[in-house]
Amino acid sequence: MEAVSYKCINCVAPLIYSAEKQKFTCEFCRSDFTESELKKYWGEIEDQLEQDAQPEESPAVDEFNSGAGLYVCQSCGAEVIAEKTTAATFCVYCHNPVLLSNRMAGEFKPDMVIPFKISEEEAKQKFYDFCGKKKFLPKDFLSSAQLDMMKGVYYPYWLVNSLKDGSLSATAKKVRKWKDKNYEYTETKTYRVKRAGRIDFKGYPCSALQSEDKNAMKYVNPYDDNELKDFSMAYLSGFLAEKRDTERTDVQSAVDGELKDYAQKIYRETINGYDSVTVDNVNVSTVQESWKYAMMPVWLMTFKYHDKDYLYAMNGQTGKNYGELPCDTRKLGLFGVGMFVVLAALVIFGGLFLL
Amino acid sequence: MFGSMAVYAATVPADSAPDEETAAVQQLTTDAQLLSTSSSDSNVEEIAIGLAISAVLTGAVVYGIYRGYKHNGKTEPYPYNKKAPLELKISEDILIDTNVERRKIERDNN
Repeated sequence: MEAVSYKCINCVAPLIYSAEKQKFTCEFCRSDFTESELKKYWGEIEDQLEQDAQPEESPAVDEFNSGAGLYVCQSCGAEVIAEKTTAATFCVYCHNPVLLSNRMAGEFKPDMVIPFKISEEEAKQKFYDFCGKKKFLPKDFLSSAQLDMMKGVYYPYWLVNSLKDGSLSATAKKVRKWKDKNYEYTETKTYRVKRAGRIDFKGYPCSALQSEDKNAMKYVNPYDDNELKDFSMAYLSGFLAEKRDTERTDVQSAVDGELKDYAQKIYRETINGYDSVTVDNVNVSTVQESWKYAMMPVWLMTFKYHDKDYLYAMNGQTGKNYGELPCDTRKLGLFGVGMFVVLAALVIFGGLFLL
Repeated sequence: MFGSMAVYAATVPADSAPDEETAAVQQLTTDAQLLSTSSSDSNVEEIAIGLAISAVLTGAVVYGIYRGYKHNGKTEPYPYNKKAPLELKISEDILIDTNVERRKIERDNN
């Protein structure tokens, strides 16, 4: 199947996208190119690729029935096996970036992309700063070998623009108390509250990959949508990328539910000045909706500790962290014992001294 | 016990009969034993309370540290205040009921 690498205009070596320079860079001749320069030179070729590339239909059944595909590296001719959702990877032999254009063709071609803004060195430094304050991490968690396992991955998201009409009904109460010489009075005023209006949800993100950690994909958000660009496969060069494995219909009801919850929050925040508010009813209907398929940058690292996999994710644009860190329970236990002994001595002898 | 014997020496009259003496000594000994038992009981109680307080504080600190390693970064993923503006068309607040309760204030006449 078709695998491509974007090549340097000057020396024909593979190009990668540099988050630091926000340009396409050649690691051999150190040339840098903007997107428009590449499009001007390679533009026709990219259009040609899009015309020639057939969207991958059912993947050929392999002996493991995993849907993996076989590709040929354009640089060294080696055969590269890629998982069914992989859209960009590296050749395991020559380590050149490999872009699987078939997997980003037709209906699977993304509409938008946010290029990486945080370089690998910056990501490692931010991760190191994030973990530096934590004293009970396992010994080799911050080793250079572990940090080298951090990978830049473009993840697929649905971005939903949805115009909703809705209303919220609630019962609200105001309580006032006062007293005179002999009696205490409590006045309770009950109100029927209604709020109705139109909410314009812009760029609501929903993960388009079923297999990944849902919390990680959710909590690396938000991204700054102002930096969304029209999709070009060239941005994936030098990074891994996953293509979506969900259709809009698969996630529509989940998105509707989440937007309804947000609508309730938004209407509820307009009800002020009461001592208690009980929401009775929320109605939301869709006026207009559009869905876009976008690729978002994430720095990822996994760590196995005591047979449990830990996933750390960092937003590749803003640097926002999310993840569960492993805790060395033995170290923590020893600290607990030491703390208990010191505290016990202080409390007991301090108490006896005071008596 | 020796202290109580010294007290005994000061309080038992010099001319008291031998039987009375024995009974008085026995009473003093019993009193001294009771005193030392109750003071050692209260020491044990204080130590137990001290250990319990230390255990609770240590447990709270250790649990807090452990929780800090879980679910870092779980903040609002969608800034709806900026990205979902509301155009409010209806805003009604209608008073439907007013209820006043009265409670007599209990006074202590003494």
